[in-house]
Amino acid sequence: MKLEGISLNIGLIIAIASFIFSIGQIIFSRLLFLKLKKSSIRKTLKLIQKNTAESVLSGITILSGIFIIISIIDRGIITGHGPFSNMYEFAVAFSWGILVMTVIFSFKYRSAAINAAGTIIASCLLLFSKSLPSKAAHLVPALQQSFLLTAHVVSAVAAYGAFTIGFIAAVFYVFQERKNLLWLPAAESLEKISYTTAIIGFLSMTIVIILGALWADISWGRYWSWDPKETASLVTWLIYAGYLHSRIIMHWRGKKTALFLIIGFAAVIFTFFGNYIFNGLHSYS
Amino acid sequence: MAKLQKDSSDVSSKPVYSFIVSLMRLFKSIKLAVFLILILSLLGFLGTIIPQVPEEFVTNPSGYSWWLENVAYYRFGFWTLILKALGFFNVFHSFLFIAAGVLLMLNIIVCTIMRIPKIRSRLSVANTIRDRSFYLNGDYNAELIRSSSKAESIGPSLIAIFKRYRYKIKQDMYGDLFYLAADKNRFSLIGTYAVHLSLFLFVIGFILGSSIGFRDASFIIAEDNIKNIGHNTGISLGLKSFTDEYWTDGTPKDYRSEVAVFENGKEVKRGTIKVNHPLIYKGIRFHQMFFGPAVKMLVMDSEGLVLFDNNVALPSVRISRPLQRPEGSFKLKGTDYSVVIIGSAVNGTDTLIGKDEIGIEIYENTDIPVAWTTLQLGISQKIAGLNITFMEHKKYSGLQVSREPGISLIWIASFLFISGLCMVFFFPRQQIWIAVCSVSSITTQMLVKLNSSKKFNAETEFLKLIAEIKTILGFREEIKK
Repeated sequence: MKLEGISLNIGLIIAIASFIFSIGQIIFSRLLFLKLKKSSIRKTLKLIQKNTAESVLSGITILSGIFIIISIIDRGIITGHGPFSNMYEFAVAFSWGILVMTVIFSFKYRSAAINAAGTIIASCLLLFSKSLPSKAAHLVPALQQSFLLTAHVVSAVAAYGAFTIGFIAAVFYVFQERKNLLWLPAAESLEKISYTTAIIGFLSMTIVIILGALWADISWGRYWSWDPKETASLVTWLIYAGYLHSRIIMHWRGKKTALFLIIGFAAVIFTFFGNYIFNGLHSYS
Repeated sequence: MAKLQKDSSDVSSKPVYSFIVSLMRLFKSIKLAVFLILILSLLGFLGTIIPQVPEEFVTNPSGYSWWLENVAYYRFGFWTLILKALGFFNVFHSFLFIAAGVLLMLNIIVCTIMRIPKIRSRLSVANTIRDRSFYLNGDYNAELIRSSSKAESIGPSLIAIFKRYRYKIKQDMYGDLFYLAADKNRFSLIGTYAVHLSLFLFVIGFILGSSIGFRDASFIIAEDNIKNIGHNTGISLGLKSFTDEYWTDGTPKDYRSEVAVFENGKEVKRGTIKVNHPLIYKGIRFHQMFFGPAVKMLVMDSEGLVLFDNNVALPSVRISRPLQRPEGSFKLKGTDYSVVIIGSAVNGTDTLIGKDEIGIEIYENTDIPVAWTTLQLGISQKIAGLNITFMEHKKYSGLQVSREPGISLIWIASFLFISGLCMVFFFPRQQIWIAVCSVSSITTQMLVKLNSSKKFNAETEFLKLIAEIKTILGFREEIKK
């Protein structure tokens, strides 16, 4: 397990570094904005600095992601199955999902703030995972369905990663709508990010639930048993369904939809940590 | 003379009519849908954090009362009665949950019906010729200009560009004006219908399963036994053998049952049931759920007549704190005797019943045993006029036998839902109208308008098309909104 452990630790350190550099970039660009008087030079310099800095920050986050995926793949090779069979493995996969989504959206919108928020959440998750028992156990018979195990959990990683970025954008939006801070993306961009990630997340979450039902039917002979984890994921799905209806059909914008996304993310966290509260069929760790 | 009073035959004045209209307006509302979705989420959340009454007690009033007194009351104290009244100990079958679900379904039906005319008109092929104001209004439009030739020569090149983007084209000429209407993914409008229809199919499938299906989650059968599965199926299952395998650290690796299925006494199917590999026969599914110990027993009377020679499962648990011992029983046919077997404790050292021993209690229609003893493996004993031998350690298999009539509907609904979602978000309907006219002998003007159902980045393709039109056809932008 050595490569797996070393790789994870390096990935974690780089993620924390990315967070620190992002904060540094935010402070630096604010100072740059204040110090430079001449508006044309200020604008150009700011733009060059922003683009370069954002590329560097995204590069650092990508590097962190590479080390995490090496850790995941190594573990997968050693255990012989998709490394998603307990809370430790899923926490690492979840944090990788957040890093991927962070890179995509922070680079697209040139936002050090999104990079900072994404990397700190991913780092906290990785730190949490290090506190979990990580000894690779053999798969009990119910989990020996490699395709469904991988597909079900990979979809969950994609969904949770997207929902995390949506949450970050929603929180930033609440500040940005009122204050219009320069170091955050424009309110309109944040709105767009929330919407895009909600769609990606909702689609992925639908696949998670359907694949989960399919697997439950094959394994336990029952596609739906109101098991707490199943129900919690359905609650999460319902909240995002509510968000999409209010956004697309009622044309709600602004704080109301941001609130939906914040509650939705709370549901994601509840579903993720639910294994410690519930004692249902999902308690494999 | 002018009528000052409302004509009483006017339908719209009737209170029933206005009530129906208000009801329709309410059920057409998306706000209601969002509200009901949030109610269902809240109830779902409560269902995960409030312990729910175990399934076996739901239809068992005395079991339910026992659970309320011993489990619920212990946690919730005086709140227990309030939670019970609200149905929160069985949230997913409670009045509130079902009512919210039914209202949401009604909401979807009304919404769907009310939107049919709008969708029908949007499904019809767009008018090609429009007036000038049409092209200049809307979210995405462009005015292009070029110094050259006649309007209609642009036609073929323009059509070629749109065909590359998979649009269906209609063109028309009016005098020296050239019109084009491009349409893509027209049928993706039904995506939203597919999504909502699938919700109904899910509900119908679920109700079908709970009403005309059955599930026996504890079908226990010892090796070398045949047992009727009941439910008027005429089907029995015979367990030929059971095998369990373990990893080196003791965790279960695999467990499987070799079985034969009998219908009306005749063997119809053989197979292996493993976790993740159920056996299916005529819609009846056999899933491997659990397993446990069994014992092979031989009982003879004092004359040597065999009264019992079979394997007995020990599926129950006898608790003598802190030990848990497996327990099972069997009846002796033609007598009043029943024999209870107690195995060695599964959770610790058992000083009373060793690993190759069993305890037996003999009952004769009584609550207290008339005799009891400990049997050693292979050694027969005379007790209560019977000769009893513990012959061999065996296993029993714990299966789930079920019939799920709604299952096909569930998978159809799943497929419909995903397809519908993909249609809505990845194949949105896009329509582009173009009008080309010669404003002078050397100048041609092109007006372009986009109508998109795309949920985000609607303008990306539009801008790409404009760029191609400019490059290939030599237009440049005049004014852009």
